[in-house]
Amino acid sequence: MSCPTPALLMVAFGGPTPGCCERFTPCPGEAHCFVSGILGHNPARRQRIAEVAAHYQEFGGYSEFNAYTRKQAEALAAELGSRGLDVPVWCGYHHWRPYVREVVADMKAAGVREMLVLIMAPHQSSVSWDLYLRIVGEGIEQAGAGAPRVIGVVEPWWNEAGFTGAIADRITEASCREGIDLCAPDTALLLTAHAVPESLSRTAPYCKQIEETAALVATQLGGPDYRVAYQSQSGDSAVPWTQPMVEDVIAAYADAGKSTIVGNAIGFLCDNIEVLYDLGVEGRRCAAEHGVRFVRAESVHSHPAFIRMLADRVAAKLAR
Amino acid sequence: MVSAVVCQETQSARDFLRSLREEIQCHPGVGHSLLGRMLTDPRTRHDFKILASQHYPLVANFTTYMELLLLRAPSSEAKRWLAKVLVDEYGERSHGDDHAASYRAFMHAAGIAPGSEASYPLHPEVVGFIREHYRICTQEPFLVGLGAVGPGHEWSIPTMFEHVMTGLRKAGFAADDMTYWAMHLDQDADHGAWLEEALVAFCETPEAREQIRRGALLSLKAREQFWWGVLDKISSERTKAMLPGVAPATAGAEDTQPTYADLRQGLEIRVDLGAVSDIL
Repeated sequence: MSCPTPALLMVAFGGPTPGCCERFTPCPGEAHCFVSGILGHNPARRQRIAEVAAHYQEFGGYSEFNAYTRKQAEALAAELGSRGLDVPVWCGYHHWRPYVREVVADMKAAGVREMLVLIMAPHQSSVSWDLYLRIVGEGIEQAGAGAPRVIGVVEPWWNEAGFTGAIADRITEASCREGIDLCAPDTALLLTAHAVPESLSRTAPYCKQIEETAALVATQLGGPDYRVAYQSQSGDSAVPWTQPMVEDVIAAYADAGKSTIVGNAIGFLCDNIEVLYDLGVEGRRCAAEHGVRFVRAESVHSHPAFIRMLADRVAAKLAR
Repeated sequence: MVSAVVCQETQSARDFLRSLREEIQCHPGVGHSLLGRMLTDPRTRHDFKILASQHYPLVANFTTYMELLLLRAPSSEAKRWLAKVLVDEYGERSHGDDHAASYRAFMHAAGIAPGSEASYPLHPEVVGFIREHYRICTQEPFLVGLGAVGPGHEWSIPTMFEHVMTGLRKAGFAADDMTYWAMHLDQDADHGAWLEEALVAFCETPEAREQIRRGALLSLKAREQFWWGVLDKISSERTKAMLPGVAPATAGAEDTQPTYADLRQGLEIRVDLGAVSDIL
């Protein structure tokens, strides 16, 4: 059986869902397994692994990441279908099942011969963009002869209006809901992305792209007082990570007399645990300690403008 | 009475060293995700070719850090441990091959052509590691240098290399190809034990202990940076090899990166031997 049209493989970080991943014996629990899969199965990181796994426990022990990504895939397939493009959309993850290598094997079994790759990370660094591409390549190697061939990778979209507009919409929704005037002098906007070691930020356009996304979002919101901050830095690291950190910006805003901060994680595409805990819980706690009200706007998820923009880029790639 | 005080100080020195050993084992430079994931991630010869191209300059310079530190050692007692380790580095227990030569044999097994070992662009963190260790060994107090090349290396390398060997086995390297790595598991365990005996004599005061600890932690910080640099390289190089035509996020970064051959030509080392009198 052979599938005549190319398929789309969405590659994302992944999050723990119920069901043992069967990588470690005895099973230490899904969240623990997930975090140790990221940080490495290493006694030196035991404390950090336990610390991060505990964040998952605060939200029931699992993450909605994969469910959000599947919804994005369904919305994208529907949008492409509405344009007459019957493109099967597959989702594979780096750190949880279904792993990219498993999905590539399934695609091969389903007769897929060609695929486009969509990296579900808005900003490019070696540990997101390159690593995701790498696991696609590994999946193809492991699948062997007859594995789908990569006919293209969807271009990154950090400065695309469909992405920045979707973020601006989410921030506007949250502000309206909470009765906040974003451009009021006592209000500030905090736009966050995942911290990376500085050494990685020097070899990739990651920070530059984040700054550009933030500037475009702020422009679409009418020019509020905004700053970029980095979140979820590994707490046990001895090396410098991208700055400033969320806590530092909140403190600076409090010192500057701001009474309300609206936060949005522009480096993330869904409300995963890092967004919910590191920004939603710890960011709010930090703001409260400074006597500042903190409101978090949800991530882009399946915002129609975002999905349309992805569909535009997929369609453009297929047309070549 | 005097012997009781000496005994108490020795005990206290050993407690300090035990605690330092534990701190080193838990350091993120030793427990970097690149190492910890050798067990779970696919690893290939190509990955180790990239790792080797970045790690070789560290191997090739280690002996010089030690030699520079030896010049600044304040006493024969201080020189003894450094000299014993250096004899191994020169090839005493590796059939006359110095460690850099043993490493080159591994590089060839990983796919690096003989003669091209020093021709790979180096990540800035590789250069940073080397420069930082020359700085520590020539400009910091002797005990800081000893902390860096002593505990900072000898007590961390066996753990780190065990992880690397897990990956090497997964990638299909034969036992003969892994001689350099396996040799360090044995030799560094010996060096670590010799080191502990040597250090007992040097860490009798809180100031001395702090200097030794600071040196170890400076070295491990550089080590953590180094592993991030290697991960950066591995992620993008493998992508380039597997998906030609797809631009990695790090495209263009190598254009300004020096090779090890460039680095050697441009490296200037100044040693202030006058500092010896400050230590004495």
